[in-house]
Amino acid sequence: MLDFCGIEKERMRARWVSSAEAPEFVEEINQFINVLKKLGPSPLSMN
Amino acid sequence: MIDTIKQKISGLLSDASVKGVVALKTANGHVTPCVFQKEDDLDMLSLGDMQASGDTRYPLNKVLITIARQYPDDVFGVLVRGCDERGLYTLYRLNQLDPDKVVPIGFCCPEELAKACECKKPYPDDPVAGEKTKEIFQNRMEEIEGMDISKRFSFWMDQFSKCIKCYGCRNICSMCFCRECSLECEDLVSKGSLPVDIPVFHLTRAMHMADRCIDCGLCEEACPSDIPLRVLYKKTSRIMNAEFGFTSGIEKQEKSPLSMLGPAPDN
Repeated sequence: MLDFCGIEKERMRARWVSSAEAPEFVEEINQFINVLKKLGPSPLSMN
Repeated sequence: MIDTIKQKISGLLSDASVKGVVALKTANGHVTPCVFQKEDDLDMLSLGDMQASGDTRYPLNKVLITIARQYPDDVFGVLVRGCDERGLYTLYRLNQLDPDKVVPIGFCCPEELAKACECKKPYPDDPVAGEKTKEIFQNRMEEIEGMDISKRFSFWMDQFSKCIKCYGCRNICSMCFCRECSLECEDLVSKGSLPVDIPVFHLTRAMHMADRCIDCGLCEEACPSDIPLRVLYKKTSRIMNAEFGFTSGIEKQEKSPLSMLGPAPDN
């Protein structure tokens, strides 16, 4: 739906991480930060 | 066509198989929803045809929900076009109406109306009157999908920013029966300010329409700003169909994949 409205679908991510899996959570967030840095500011923030 | 329908309603009322029939009447030059309880009143019956076939539409299912909530033990008839019947099936599925308490009186839409409405099923399963015509394919969604992503973004943001937050799309929608609405939740949609929060307002509604929208087009007809809402909901429906093989309102008994746990059903 986001893609259909012109917002990169990579900006949204859903992952299941257990509360006992802190390293996985950190890894996931770091990866996501890298993706978002590459994408730059959201088109919505410029409105 | 209208005479056949009058006869049918008259039959239902005379043998008391229904308490009333939710339909349309012409009064003082206007078409308005009405519950017919006496055969004598049927002179005023209308199919919503003012200038052309079906140019005056009302969400009769929504009227029926209101009545059924007040009179849960009574059986009511309701006038249905193809779109209304899809709505009925969806409302049965969502436990808003009891199929044993509803007698649908279906009629087919003529080809010109099916075209004007871009209708995917312009006939009910068991029509009392009219001839079934073929479905119309709509390609507005493909046009938008064909744009590049930044154009798509500016297209939708331009459309959404026209919104005057009148809630017309929600109020006309038969599938919007919730007593509490996310669009009135202040954490999502700020109160008393314009422009409306975009795209949150419209995308929230789109997500809630995912397994409900029956593509009747009333929202888009009601929208005073001419936002192509139907295209948005078509997209959510298309995703539901692609992922789960589910189309809202086509099969009477079908359950929504969103209401199940476990693997996707094979339908």
